[in-house]
Parts: sequence; C-alpha cells; structure tokens
Amino acid sequence: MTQRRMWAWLSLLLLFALPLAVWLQFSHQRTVADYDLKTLWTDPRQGDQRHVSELVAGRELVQDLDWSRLQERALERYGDASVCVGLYFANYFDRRNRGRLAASLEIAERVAEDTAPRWRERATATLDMASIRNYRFEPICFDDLTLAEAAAQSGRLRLRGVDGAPGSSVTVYLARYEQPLAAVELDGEADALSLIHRLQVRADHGAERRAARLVMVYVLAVLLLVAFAVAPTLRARERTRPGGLMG
Amino acid sequence: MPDPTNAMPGQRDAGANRAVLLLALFATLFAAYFGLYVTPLGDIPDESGHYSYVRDVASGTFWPLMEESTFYRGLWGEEAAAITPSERANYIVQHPPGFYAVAAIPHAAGAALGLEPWWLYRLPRLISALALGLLLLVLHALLREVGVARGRALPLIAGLALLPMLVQLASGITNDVFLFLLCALATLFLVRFVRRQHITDAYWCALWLTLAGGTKMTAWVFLAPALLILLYELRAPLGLWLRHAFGLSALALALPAWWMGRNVVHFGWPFYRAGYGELSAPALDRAEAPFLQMLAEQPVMNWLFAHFHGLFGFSGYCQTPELSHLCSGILMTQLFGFSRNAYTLVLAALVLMFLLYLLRLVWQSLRRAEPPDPTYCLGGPPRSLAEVVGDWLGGSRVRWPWMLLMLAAGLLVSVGLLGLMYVDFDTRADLLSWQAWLARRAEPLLIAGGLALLAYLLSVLLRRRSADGGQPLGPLVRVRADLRALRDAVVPPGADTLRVALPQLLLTLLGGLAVAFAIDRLFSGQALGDLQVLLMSLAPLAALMAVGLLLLPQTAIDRIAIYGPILFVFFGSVLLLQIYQGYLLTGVPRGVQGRYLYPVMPLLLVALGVALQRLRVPYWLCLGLLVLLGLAFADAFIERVLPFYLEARV
Repeated sequence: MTQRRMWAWLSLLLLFALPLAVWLQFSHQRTVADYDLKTLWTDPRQGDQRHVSELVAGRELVQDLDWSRLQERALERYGDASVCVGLYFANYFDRRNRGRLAASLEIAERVAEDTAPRWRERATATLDMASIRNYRFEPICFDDLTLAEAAAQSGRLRLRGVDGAPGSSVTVYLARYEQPLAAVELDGEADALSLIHRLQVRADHGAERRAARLVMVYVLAVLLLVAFAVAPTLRARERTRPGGLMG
Repeated sequence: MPDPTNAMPGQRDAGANRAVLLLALFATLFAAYFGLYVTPLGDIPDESGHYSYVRDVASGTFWPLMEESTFYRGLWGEEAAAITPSERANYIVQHPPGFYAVAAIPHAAGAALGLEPWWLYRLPRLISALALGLLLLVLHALLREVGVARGRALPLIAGLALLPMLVQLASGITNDVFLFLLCALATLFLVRFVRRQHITDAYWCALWLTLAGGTKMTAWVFLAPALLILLYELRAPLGLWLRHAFGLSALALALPAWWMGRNVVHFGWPFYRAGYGELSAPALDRAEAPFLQMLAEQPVMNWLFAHFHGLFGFSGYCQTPELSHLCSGILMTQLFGFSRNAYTLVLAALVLMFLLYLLRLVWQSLRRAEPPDPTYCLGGPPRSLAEVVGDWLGGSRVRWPWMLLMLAAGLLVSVGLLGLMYVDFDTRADLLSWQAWLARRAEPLLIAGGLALLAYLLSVLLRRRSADGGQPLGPLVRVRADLRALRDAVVPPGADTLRVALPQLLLTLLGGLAVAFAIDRLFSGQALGDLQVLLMSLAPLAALMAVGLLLLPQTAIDRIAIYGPILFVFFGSVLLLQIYQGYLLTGVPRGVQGRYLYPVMPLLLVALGVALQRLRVPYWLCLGLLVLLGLAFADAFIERVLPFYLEARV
C-alpha cells in the first residue's frame, strides 16, 4: 500500500470513527450519568399500574416517603450523600415534549404528638420534560439536602406541572405495592394507588463510569482495527497471488 | 483473474497476523481490566466454588475430592485470616483439574510473595483473560488454515471478541474460556490433519483433546466425535490404520479415562456429578413429563440462545460484609433489548448464509459426475474411509435419493422442532387455529421474508462478482457495479412494460416492509424470540443436509465445513438430554447455559468461515455485521450489565 493510499484510508476511517464515537457517547450518556445513583429502596412487586395522564401546568401529585424502608445501614453508609427520588415516567413514545416540572421535598414539623404535621418545603428541583425518557426511572435529586437530614423526619414529595401543555407533557405511573405504601394525593384528591418510586442517593461510582468509557474505547478500537486491516487497498497485494483452493 | 477476496489455505498473511495480535491484545487487556476492577467478585457463575478449587490446588491439595472439599468462608473480604474452610461441600470439584492446575500457578506465586487477598482473588482471573486472547489467535490460525480471507476471518474473530458472555467469562475464574481455547487448539490440528494428512497433526489433536477432557466433562462430548473424524479421515493401510487408531484413541482418552476411573473408585459411577445422589427421588416422572413436552412447555431453546449471548450476575451482589445476612441465593439478568436483537439478526444472517452454502454444495454434489479434484484426493492409495465412502456413494445412482432423503428428514425434524414451540400439549388447540397462528406470527414471517429478500439480493451481488471476469476493479467501480446489479435485480433491464417490472417492484416493497419491521424490532424492547427459536430449529436441517453431503465426494475443506453442524447438533442433543435429566430431578430445566456449547464452537466457526469464503460474501457486509455487534456490545455493558451491578449490589 502506498503512503498516499494509506493516509487516504486512515482519513476515511477517522471520518467513520468520529461520528461513531460521538454517537456512542451521546446514546449512552444519560445512562452513564445515572451510574452515580445508589438505590436504597425499590420494590418491583407492584400491580394495577396506571399512568396519571399528562402533567400539564397546574397538575400536582403528593406522595409520602417511607424512610423506614431504606436498606439496612443506609443512613450509616450514605447519610452524607444528597437524597434523590426516582419516579417512573413515560413520555408518550419519545414524543417531543416541552415544559417543566417542579419537585419539592417537604419535611414534617410537629408542634406536638397529637397535632397534624406542618409541612415545610426543604429542597426543590426542576425537571425539563424534553429530557425525560420513556418508561424509565428518572431521578429527582435535591443537591442541598442529605439523606440523613431528609430521613430525620417524615417526608413527602410534591410534583407539580409548571408550564406543560396538553400534547407535549410527560406522565408518571402509579401502582399498588405488595407491601402497601401511603396512597398518592392526585390534584388534591386521595387516590387508591401509590406513586412508583425509588429512594436513592448520589454516590461515587467512578469505577463503573470508567468501565463504560473503556467499553466505548474497546468497541471503537476493535472496529477500527478490523476495518483498517481489511482495507480495500490492502487487497492489492492479494491480487498478485494465484487463486487459492477456495475459488 | 484471481479473486482478490480469495486466499490460499494455510497461507501466511503478515498483515492479518499483526491485526489479530492487536485484537487479541485488546481483548486480553479489556478482560483483565474488567477482572481486576469491574466484574464483582463472585459474579461469574459458581466463582466462589472455582476459587476454592484453585485455592485448594495452590495450597497443595492437588486432587480435591467431591463431598470432602469445601467452599471457603470469608471470601472476597480483605482479611486473610478470615478465609477458612466452611462446612459446605464444594460441588465444583466435580470438574477435572486442568484449568485449576494452571490457575493455581499465579495464585501460589502471589501467596508466596505475600500478596493481599485482593490480588489472590484476582490473579486466577487473569488466566481466563489470557485464554481469551490466545483463543482469538488460535481461531484466526484455524480460519487461515482453511483459506478464509482476512476480510472475512477478522470480522468473524472480532465478532467473538464482542460477544458479551465470552468477554464476561474471560474476566472471572471459570474453566469455560480455558476449555474453549483447548478445544480450538484440538480443532486447529484436526483441520490441519484433514487437509494435510500429517499424522503428527492427528496426535497433536489427540493431545489437546485429552487436555480438554481433563478440564471439563462437557469436552468429552466433543472428544468422541472429533476422534471419530480423525479415524474417518485417516489415510493408511489397514494395519497402520489400526495401530494409529489405537494410539490416537489411547492418547485422546487418557485423561478422561483417568477421571472416569477416579469417579468409579470413589463414587461407583464414571460420570458422577454433583446432584447424582438425588436421582433416587426425582421431582418429575418421565411418563408425565416427556422430553418433547419439556421442549414445548419450557423456554429451553430461548434460554440457550439468550444465555449464549449474555447471562450476567451470580452472587457478586453480596459485596458488603456487614450486610451479608441480606444475601440469599443468586441474582442474575439476561441481556435484552437492542443488544440481543442485534445479535439475533446478525446470527440470522450468518445462519442463512450457511444454509445457502450447504444448498449450493448439495446442488454441486448432485450435478458433478467426477470427484472434485484436485483437493478431494491427496494422491494415490491408501484412501481414507471418507474417500472410500464418497467414491462409492458419489458414483452410484443412490446419491440423488440419498440426498433427497436427508433433506426431507432435515426439514421434517426442523419443522417438527419449530412446531413444538407452538403446541399446547393439553389442548393442541394452537395447531388447529391457523388464523390465530398467522395473526400472532405475521411479523416473524415478514421478518423471515425480509431476510430471504436480503439473501436474494446478496446472491445477485455474488453472481455479479463471480462474473467480474479478469478486469481488476477499483473499489468505487466495484460499488457502482454492485448498485447497478441491485437495480437490475429489482427492475430487470429491458423490462419496458410494467407487467414485467411490477411484480418485482411489489416483491421488493414487501421485502422492504419486512426489513423495516426487523429494524423496528431491533431497536424496540421486544425480544425476537420467534426468530431465535427458528434459528435453533434450523440446526437439525443443516446437520442432516451435512450428513447427506458427507457421504458424497467433497473437498477436504468442504468436509471440514460440513462436520461443523453435525457435531453441533450431536453436542446440542446431548446437552438437551442433560437439561432434561436436570428437569426430571428438580422440576425446572437445569444447566441451560449457552457457554456449555463452547467446545464445539471452533468447528462451527470454521464451518461458517468456509461458507462465507465459498459464497464470497463481500467484506463490507462482514464489516457491517461487525459494526452492529460492536454497538450491541456497548449497549450490553453500558445499558444493562454495569447498571445491573450497581442496582443489585447490597
């Protein structure tokens, strides 16, 4: 292979590799970003699932959070980490959605044992509906609230549609848990079902993130190596040989 | 003109050798990194048992005995003193010690150097990583041996380096990858012997076979037919033939015979395995749960398919000593979604090509009057059994009915196997309700139609390439000619009336729709379960066609290729019977592991390589399939495996 042809082929390979690398990075970046979540409670045993229809502006859900269900020693191991709640969303089959959702974590302040708790908003977060994926748990993280602070009192999650319009908003799913949870309050009315959710924290999973990058590098390296080795220009040498038994 | 995609069998190719060396290095480093830093300890099936076996051998107990040897407690912790024998018997010592003897070397060296448990757990894993790299090198040598051009050999080898299950196993302590390597070495010498008739190659083959048999009992199922092939292909006068038959058999069976003898001495049964004691009280009765009913009612075929691709996890979720009371049983996940769908479609394309190759071989074998010289016979007498049988049947009028009989039998078994999956054994209603069947199966049928169309277009390309004549063509000219041929296939040249062109256009439209369905399925979360079962069901058809072809005169390379499906079906049948035995014992199909098929994979791979070469499948198609596998590999690890580790870990 001449020098010129080799460079031409290498350039062609790079042209192929670059979009492939970008595509790999782009298509997996959300999942890799979620590696930094540690789920401390989830219960897959649910029945009677249904969604709540679109979370347009003004719609609101409130779900009590049961900290007693956290994995054993969770507070000891992850008490200092930011608390997150994962909700099971659907985006109407990758429709182009717009608008925001406002989430807040409220903590109960009791004046006395026999009085109803007074709920105080302790942390807030905003979700962009355009970035919510279909049939996935999407985390809502409260960066300035640790798990230890949140779990010290009763807590609840409030999710509110800010400016979503019909036809371009996402939805969340409800279910009946095998080990019953408090029912969700949907637009001010008590519902029979609970919001499907997970209790999570932000944790450092650098090893897994590095592993994901290594997977991408490995795949690219293997593909480029093979593509380079079977470059059409390399076949020029084979043409000079006599035909083999495989003819 | 010599076809540029052609290659001389056994010819050296420095460029391809450099590429495959690099490929092997990449795969080894990747598996080693995962073994050291990513794959949770204990997350390779039975890894604590495999490690305990390695530790026993490294500490001087060279032949640990089942029911005496135990698991170690305190494993995967940082405290060396906490690692002590437990009371639980280690059933993994049912395996012969081949792998463990090798894996114990780095462990013993590490212990002698006073390394921490962190290293002692992981050093034996590096043996599997090294075995993966060596495996790729050996398989490449194997494909070159039968003359597969680098443009087809390298994508095939790289496809293995992108098989999630294999790479995952190479990052852990298990005998599977090591066994795969030994069987690949045995196959390499088997193929060399069939091609060159050097008796030393046969003895090398027998040596690797016995070492494989001394590593895992599943290799015995490969050993027996491989030995028969050696004898079937051996060209020698009767006396010498008998002497070599004895010598080869004695060498190949040495270690398995030793292990069987040991089993007889200690347990009274040569094939004794863990769980045999329970045979006295099986959960199911043979009459109530016949073999075919198990195939119909349990997703054994789907599981085998899926588990060959990727079954991840085991007990590695249990990584926090203070939470060990939460660890009960095993946690595993299959790969699904894009990764499995892409793998299914790639495999479907390969199976289709292999069937095309077999059909072409059938056609050629029936049409030709003379043996396929010069490669059929290497010279004068003495002749091998393969040549004697080929001459006798090939020259007789029986060859047509014989081949048709094999084809019909193959179709019958394959259709029967496929039909089983859709039979309700109680009502048999599914068979009667054709309407419901069609409604449910319309999409797979369309997909099958799409694949058939692809095959048709491929055959058009292959025909065009064969008709290239002697002119050397540049790559661009070649692509343009390919495109012209495809256009002519859709709208025939000279078809000036719609009457001629319309049916072809409609057919293409229908095929296009089917391909669209396939692509939709590829990216959707739906598993292509029906297609997987269809592919598995085609194996008996391929095997019986191959049996038919084997008894007709074939070139040495074609004989090698047609041994592949025969051994695969033989091996798969024994595996299914073992699964059935487990089913009767426990009430659920046991041992449904795709990795158990590794011993026969090298021969199957070489068969596929020959098919791709004979059909002159274009490089771009091989590369395209490889790109799909690459994306599927990334999807498997990034979207499924790593999140599973994080999700499951307590």
